[in-house]
Amino acid sequence: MYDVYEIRKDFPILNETINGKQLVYLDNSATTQKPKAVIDTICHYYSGYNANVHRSVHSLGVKATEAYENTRRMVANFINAPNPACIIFTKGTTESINLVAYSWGRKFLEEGDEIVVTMMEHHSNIVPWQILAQEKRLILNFIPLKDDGTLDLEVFKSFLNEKTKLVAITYVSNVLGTINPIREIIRLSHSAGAIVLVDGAQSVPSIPTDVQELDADFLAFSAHKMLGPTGVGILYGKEELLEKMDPFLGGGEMIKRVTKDFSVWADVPYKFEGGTPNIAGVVGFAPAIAYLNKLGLSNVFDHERALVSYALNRLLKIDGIKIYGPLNSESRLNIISFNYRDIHPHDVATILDQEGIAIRAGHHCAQPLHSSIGISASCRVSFYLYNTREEIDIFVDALKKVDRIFKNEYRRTL
Amino acid sequence: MNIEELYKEIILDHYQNPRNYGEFDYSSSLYRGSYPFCNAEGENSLCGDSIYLQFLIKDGKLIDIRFRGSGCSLSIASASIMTELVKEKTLEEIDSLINRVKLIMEGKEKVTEDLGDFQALEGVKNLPVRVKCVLLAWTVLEEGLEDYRNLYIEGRR
Repeated sequence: MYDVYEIRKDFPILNETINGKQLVYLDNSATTQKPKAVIDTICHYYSGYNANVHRSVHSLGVKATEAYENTRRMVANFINAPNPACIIFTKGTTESINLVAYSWGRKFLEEGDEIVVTMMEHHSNIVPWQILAQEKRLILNFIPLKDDGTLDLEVFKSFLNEKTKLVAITYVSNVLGTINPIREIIRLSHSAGAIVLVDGAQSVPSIPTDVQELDADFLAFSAHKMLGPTGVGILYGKEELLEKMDPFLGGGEMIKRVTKDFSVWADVPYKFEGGTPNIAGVVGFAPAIAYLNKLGLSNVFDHERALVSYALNRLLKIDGIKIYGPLNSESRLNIISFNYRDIHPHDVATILDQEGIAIRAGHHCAQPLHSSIGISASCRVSFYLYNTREEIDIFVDALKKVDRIFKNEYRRTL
Repeated sequence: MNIEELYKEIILDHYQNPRNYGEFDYSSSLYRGSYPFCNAEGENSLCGDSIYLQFLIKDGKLIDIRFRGSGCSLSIASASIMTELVKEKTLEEIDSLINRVKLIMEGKEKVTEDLGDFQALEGVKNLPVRVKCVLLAWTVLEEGLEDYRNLYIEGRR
């Protein structure tokens, strides 16, 4: 394990005061804070070797390209991809998923084909498939949730048939924190002949991931949810799939040769990286990965598990708290969504904000999930490697203030 | 701004006892055939909060209004306060009221006493993400009036 109080010193923002109070940042599923090494690397990139990548002959361009490609190798190692060429940089998980919908889905799916998603997907793993389904007349099936916030695998099995071409599923729910049995889902999907896209936005930052062991066909995630800069997403794809796919954005960088009549695409991964990429962001992602490697991702996982278990225990003792998703910390990652009495999540979040506590309130880009559990919004706290038990105490104690402000009984029934 | 100030009694009172809450009784002879029934609804895409409005217009005046909805204290209180402010006002007066409310939330105009309980909501302008909550009912009414004009006022079809 590591000393959480020691590593907090690496994150300058954690010393900030918000509304006169020490910041308690519990919105890590939205984005995590950045260690000084990441901030400094970006600054150093712009002040020391800013240049465009892959096309400059001069020394700065060579240095920038080296740094950019170094991150690609580090990402490949981080998820145990067989080859750095399987790593495509995008601007985020959303773009990574859209890339697959556009470049793979448009080419290989035909009318009547079926895609399976789940009721717990983030909008970014629903909407691209809806758009594609409308365009190509595909069928989109949603795996429902059981009462305990886990997926109903029996229904999933009943969806699988020879028309099922793709299963697009999140490893961890960004609302319920549920850790899905991803290995079993991938195995079942493959035996039905479907390929699997894993949305790893919430899982990759905290669960050690080996794409070869998982046998995932695609894995999408974002740098900014794992200490890195915003504007950098990753798409891992099996090389044979990537080779067969059409390009994504047409333009510079993604071609070998352009004539008036036709163009020849660049090799994978450059075929999918048209235009000048977010070089500073990609370069700044390297120290984030190094930081996670240094702490050890399994230590990060254990730390978060201890926090979530502590927070669940404290919250469950409060009268009027309704927690969504699995109640045992074994099936849950670092996320707890809840409602407090009848108090609207926005009101809870605004009052906590005045105490310096940052939580998320709303539907967390998962409206189908919220409707399926019969609510329109919830409060969400999510932890990361630098959070402490004391912060959970501050948060739980602040709920008392919410209670005090809304002390009157509700006479209105909706 | 002190948060307890924001959630002062007036707002919580409107939230917990919203005025003009519910729907018109369409079966009542009071309403039957007398007015064009107008309604409008809208959602806050940030959180899924929703407001549903019904209102009656006669001789260019909004003579009665009801609302229903689910939302946070600020969106419900704002809707409740709005229903009190717009009653018995001409459509032009309501237009200018809606405009003023928007300007107040943008910090470009101060509230004045004639805005009644809405004065209690002025502090929300310092919480940019919550401004949408306050404006939800007002933008729904704005759209409802636009629909009314398109449907019932000559020369606008």
